[in-house]
Amino acid sequence: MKIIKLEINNFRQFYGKQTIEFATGDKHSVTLIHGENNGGKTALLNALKWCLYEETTENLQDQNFLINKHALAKNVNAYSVKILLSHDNKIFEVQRRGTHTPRKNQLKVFEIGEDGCYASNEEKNPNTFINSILPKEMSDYFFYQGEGTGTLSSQNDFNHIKEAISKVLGLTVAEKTLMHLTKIRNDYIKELTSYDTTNESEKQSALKEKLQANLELTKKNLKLRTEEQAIAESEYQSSERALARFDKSILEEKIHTRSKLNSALKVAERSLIEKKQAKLKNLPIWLSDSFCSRLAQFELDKINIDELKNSHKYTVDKRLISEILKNHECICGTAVPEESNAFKLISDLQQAAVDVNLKRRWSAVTSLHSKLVKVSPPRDIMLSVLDEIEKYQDEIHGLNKDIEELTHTIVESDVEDIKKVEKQRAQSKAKNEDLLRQVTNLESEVRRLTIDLKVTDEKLLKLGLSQPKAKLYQALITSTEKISDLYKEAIESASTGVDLKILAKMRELFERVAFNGYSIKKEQGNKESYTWVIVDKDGKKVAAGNGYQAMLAISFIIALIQFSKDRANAKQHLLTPGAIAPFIADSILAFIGPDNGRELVKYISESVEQSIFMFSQAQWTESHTDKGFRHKIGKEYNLVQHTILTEDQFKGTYPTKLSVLGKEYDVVKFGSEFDKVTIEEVVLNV
Amino acid sequence: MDIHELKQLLAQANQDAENAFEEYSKKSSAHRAALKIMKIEKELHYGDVTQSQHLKKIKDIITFHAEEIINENNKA
Repeated sequence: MKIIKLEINNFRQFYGKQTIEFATGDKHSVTLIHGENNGGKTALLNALKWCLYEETTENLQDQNFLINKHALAKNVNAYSVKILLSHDNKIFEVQRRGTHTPRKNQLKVFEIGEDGCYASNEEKNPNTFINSILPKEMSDYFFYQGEGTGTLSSQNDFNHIKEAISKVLGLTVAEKTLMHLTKIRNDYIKELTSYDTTNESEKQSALKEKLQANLELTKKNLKLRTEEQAIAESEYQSSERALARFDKSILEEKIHTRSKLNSALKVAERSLIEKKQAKLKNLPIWLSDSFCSRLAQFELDKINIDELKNSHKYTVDKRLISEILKNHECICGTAVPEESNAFKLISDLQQAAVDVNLKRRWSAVTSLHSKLVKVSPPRDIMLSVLDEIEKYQDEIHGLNKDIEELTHTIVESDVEDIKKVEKQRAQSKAKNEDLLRQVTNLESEVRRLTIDLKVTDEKLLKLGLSQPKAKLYQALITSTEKISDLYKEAIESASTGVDLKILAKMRELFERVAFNGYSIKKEQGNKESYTWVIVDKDGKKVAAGNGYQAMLAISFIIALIQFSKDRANAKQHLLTPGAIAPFIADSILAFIGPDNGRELVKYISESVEQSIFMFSQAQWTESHTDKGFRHKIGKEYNLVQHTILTEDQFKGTYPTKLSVLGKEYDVVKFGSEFDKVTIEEVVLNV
Repeated sequence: MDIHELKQLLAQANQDAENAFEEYSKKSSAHRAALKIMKIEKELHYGDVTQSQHLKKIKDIITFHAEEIINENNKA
């Protein structure tokens, strides 16, 4: 099925008659509809849903008020939706007209001829016709509402998976049929007993009826207990996991370790203080020793002491001789002229004169040097103290970090919580074990009842054959059983392995859009139940956020749609066949990031026959989303909001303009006569 | 893609489906009866017929095919 055109008339925000033609080609199979908050996206999705099934999505406000309010104010009482669709080589027009007062509506389906006119009278069974194209049960998956609560909340819950698979396989009608056939068969058995003169048939029939009722009841109980047991087991596992986090003995050990670490911290802090004090105290000594050691390194041999060596013979004061020669006068007052012998002799004496302090100073130098040489350099002691200070500082830092981490864990692990979780675990364990016992007992009971029923059936058959008048009813019973067997076989063969087929399809999509190696695994609860979980590249379960959970849910829906398509031509006529139908998504990227979103729309647009995406600019961007499916877009529309407000009065938080491929379009038009939404085409060159 | 192209594309799929349906109904009388029952069950499920007529219609189908079913069953 492909939707060719939608015509809405006075429906919700859409005043008057407005139309959308959808992309139906193989190359360009995507229709993109832009619309901001309250812009009519959800109303469009609901127009399709209401027209086909007389249903609306859960998130549609004021569900009983489908007529356009302005039209109603103008005394118009009717509203309608028409869908032009192609199916089985034919074109059909589905139209539903409603009146606001009294609240009623009528569905009509016509085939459209090649000339565009109605080719025949209207379909006699329009609901059956529509449901044979896309069964109502399956439409929840084809009509996707990302911001609603229905389809997204618990896709990976076991019961939901089971229900969805059952809907896609079309088991609903087949199972109902089986129920009706069983009732008919029992009617025949009652008739059969009326022809039995020995009352034996009556007895056996009563027994059979009782056995059948018991079997049905036991089966129902078994189903119920199995589901309850799956839930109890899941609760038990989750309390086990919770308890592992809150293990009391581990917690006590952690408290003990923290106390030991605190003592070690105190010792380390004390040692650090001691070392720092020692450093302060010894610092002047170390400085002095260091200076002395440096001085001791000076080599005395390098000092020129020739003058001192020469002076050993005489003790003539060098300064005094210089004074005499300079003043030309001896210390006794005698003149010593320059030309005199005395001056000459004194000048000669100057050659051997010496500074009188030099000898004393030299003696002091040699004595000091010999003392300095004996002083040990402080470098090693200093380094050892500094190393120890650093070691204690590191130790204190490490201890503080460990203590902080332990404290955090201890604070998180409230002892009261542990008690609660322990109690929960004990309860869920007991419940799970009890239910497991019940399930096993019920399984044996079902087996026993089935055998008893078979024995009674055989007896009845023999009795029936012995009574000629009963032969007809026996034939009817056998025929009913043969037909029932076909239904049972169809249900069983269709159900086998479906979960794994769907899982394979889910993985394909999920791995392509998730980027980080995440995949999906089937997690077995007990032998009956399972669920889908997100796993990392090593196959370990991960706690993924909302975005990944949304992708998991969407991958399940897309897998169901693909599976439904695979079944469209399945030769399994006793079940509702699969369907090829458009995927219509309102706000599909509500919880998904831009890069994952781009890959997701790319995958969907390439794998689904026809898709219709409705986005606000918060989810659709030219830089990301658009790059995923631009090549597949065949039709594009802009839902324009007309408001009575002026631009200044408008307090909308969303954009008022839309830019597509370099061209700008109005999203909001101000100063309108009344509030409404119009559908305006974004013209593409495709 | 216009309507004519679309119709051509759908023609083959429709033919295949019809052939498969024919093939299924030829298998046995029980198969034929089961198909007829499914048709009215769908009408009931999707709201186009009422319950009161429903079981009688199924019984009529079974009665109509009973002899053939028994004969086929005896042969098998």
